[in-house]
Amino acid sequence: MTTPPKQIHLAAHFPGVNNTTVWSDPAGGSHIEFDSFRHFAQSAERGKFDFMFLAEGLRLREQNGTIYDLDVVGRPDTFTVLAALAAVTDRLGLTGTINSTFNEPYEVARQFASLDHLSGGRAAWNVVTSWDAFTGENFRRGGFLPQDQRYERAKTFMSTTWELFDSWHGDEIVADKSSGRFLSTPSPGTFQHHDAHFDISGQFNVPRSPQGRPVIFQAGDSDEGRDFAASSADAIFSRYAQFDEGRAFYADVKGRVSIRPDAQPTAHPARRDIRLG
Amino acid sequence: MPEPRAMLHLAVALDGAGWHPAAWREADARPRELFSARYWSDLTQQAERGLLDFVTFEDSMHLQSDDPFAPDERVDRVRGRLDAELIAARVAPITRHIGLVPTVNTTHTEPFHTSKAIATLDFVSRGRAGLRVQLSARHDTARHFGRREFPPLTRDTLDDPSVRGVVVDQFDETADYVEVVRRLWDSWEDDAEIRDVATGRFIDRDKLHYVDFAGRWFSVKGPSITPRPPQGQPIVAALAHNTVAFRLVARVGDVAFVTPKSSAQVVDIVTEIRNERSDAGRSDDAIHVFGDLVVLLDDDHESAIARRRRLDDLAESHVGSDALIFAGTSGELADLLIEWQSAGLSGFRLRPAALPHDLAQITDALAPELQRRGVFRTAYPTEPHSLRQLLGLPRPLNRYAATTNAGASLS
Repeated sequence: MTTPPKQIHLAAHFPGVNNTTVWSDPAGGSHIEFDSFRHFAQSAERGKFDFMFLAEGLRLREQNGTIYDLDVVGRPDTFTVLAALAAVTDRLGLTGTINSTFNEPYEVARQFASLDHLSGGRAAWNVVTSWDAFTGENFRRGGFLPQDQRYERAKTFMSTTWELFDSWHGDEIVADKSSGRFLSTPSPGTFQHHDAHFDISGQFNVPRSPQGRPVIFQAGDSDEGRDFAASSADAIFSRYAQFDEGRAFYADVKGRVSIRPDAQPTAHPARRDIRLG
Repeated sequence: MPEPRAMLHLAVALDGAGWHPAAWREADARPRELFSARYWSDLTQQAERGLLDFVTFEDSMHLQSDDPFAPDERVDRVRGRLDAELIAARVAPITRHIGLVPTVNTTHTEPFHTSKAIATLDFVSRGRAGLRVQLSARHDTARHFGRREFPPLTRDTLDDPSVRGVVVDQFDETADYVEVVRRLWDSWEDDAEIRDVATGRFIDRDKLHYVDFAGRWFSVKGPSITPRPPQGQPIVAALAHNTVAFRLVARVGDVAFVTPKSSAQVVDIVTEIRNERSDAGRSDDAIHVFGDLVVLLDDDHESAIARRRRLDDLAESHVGSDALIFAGTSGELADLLIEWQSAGLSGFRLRPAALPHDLAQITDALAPELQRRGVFRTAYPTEPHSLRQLLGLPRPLNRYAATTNAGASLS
């Protein structure tokens, strides 16, 4: 008797701002017009891919003080493109890279919960962190984080968005026309979070989404990055293409996964079924 | 020979199950679908069938409440909403003509993110995006972000000088916010992407510009990560009730939503906004002033009045509004719109009291009535068109390109 082969998962990364994207071919399409994204997403869906993926960079790259012009430059807003793609696809997962340094949990949680509602449960979040003042110059928050704090902020950012996603349980909206009762509880979405990075409280205003929360991706490779991924992610992007290196990375992260949940009881307990891609 | 009548513009404001707090209890209401894509798609497509200029999507960074300054604990009202900008993006690919104008909070969000989001909405809708800015001085909303403190607001403290100062500052901050958003939209010249294979350059970097904004509340470097949107400058709108808000929209906006209760008030408001526009040195830039009205429309007057009474009874409290609440027939509403148009308004943003009923009345009864009277379009343009074109607004020159040209002519 043979065991059926394990199925692999496939994702499609929209080519854009990096040195592997070929833009010089006359057939190379726009990296900004919606038709390119529509074509890409519908092709991935036709191929039965799990999800598509958008990267992000919040400041144009520079070299020697001038904007770097030899690769593709410019990209659209991640949430906006993914919400629009939800209209022209039915099954494909929609993964967006969103920075945990230059956003606030309340807003990002609203955006992901909304995307999950509007896509029928297809939202996923690749969590990245920044620490550089260079990118910070585009934001009112400004400034930067010491490098050792960026994963700390990312971790607490994620656990805070978790509290927001979980602040609605899914049974609040009854919408009973005859009795006139819309809500089952007078204060849905109540939350309170206090730590060194976020001191927030009140009511979240997006009801619980189909998935409850987006699927979480992470791609960090430093020691802190691996710890963060092990404690927070559902799936990890690995950069290793050689078998032995890849196996070592897998073993290392799996080892961290088995340790971290106890060290991070409030974040995402029992995250042992982590996928490495 | 009589002059041809000026056309008026029509927009509709979508919010939850409609603007009446009891609307969700109507037989045709879909309160369980308020958080679904289908609900918003159906409403926007209905508005498009009525040939409207644009729809707005309401939003807030707090749970809805009857109390304008604090949460309430009511369980008999619609509570919860989706992000307006994402709703607009979700319906863009399934519409072709109608403008999409989401509400964006300017107090707690980043102008850099908002600028690229609306630019991208303009790309996915092929030039139909707008931005309705809204500030929030609510204490509880600020607690959701934990980055700034506002004194608790109540009706009694509104006239307190320190509270007034905070509110006036917020309007100034919103003006800065829009300035940054607009500069970022211009931070790429239209022809910056060159794909020059010979030199290997994807862009002409001389056509990308730092915006270098430094103000009292924030500074932003730029350029945007998103190229200049199809409209160049998507439209910017704001709801305005008083002088400080009139000043904001006159300084930075393309469309003002205002709430007159009479023809005489229309004249006063329009005059004040035009004067503020002039004081801001922008009298040459067209500005639309749209009247906001909550509407309950039925085929006969008595039915509309009775429906309003029935909804008010269901709501179990006095239902008021910042805008005039109109209950009657589409013919009666057309009379009022044309009268107020003559007093100086160029369009109207109608707030359907109950969805989908009052939206269907707008598209299926009011719009044809206005067409019969020769004041509303009978078709969208056959060529692809932008929201700016629907509103008769030119595509603006890029402020940075103009600077470059001026510099070149001096050398």
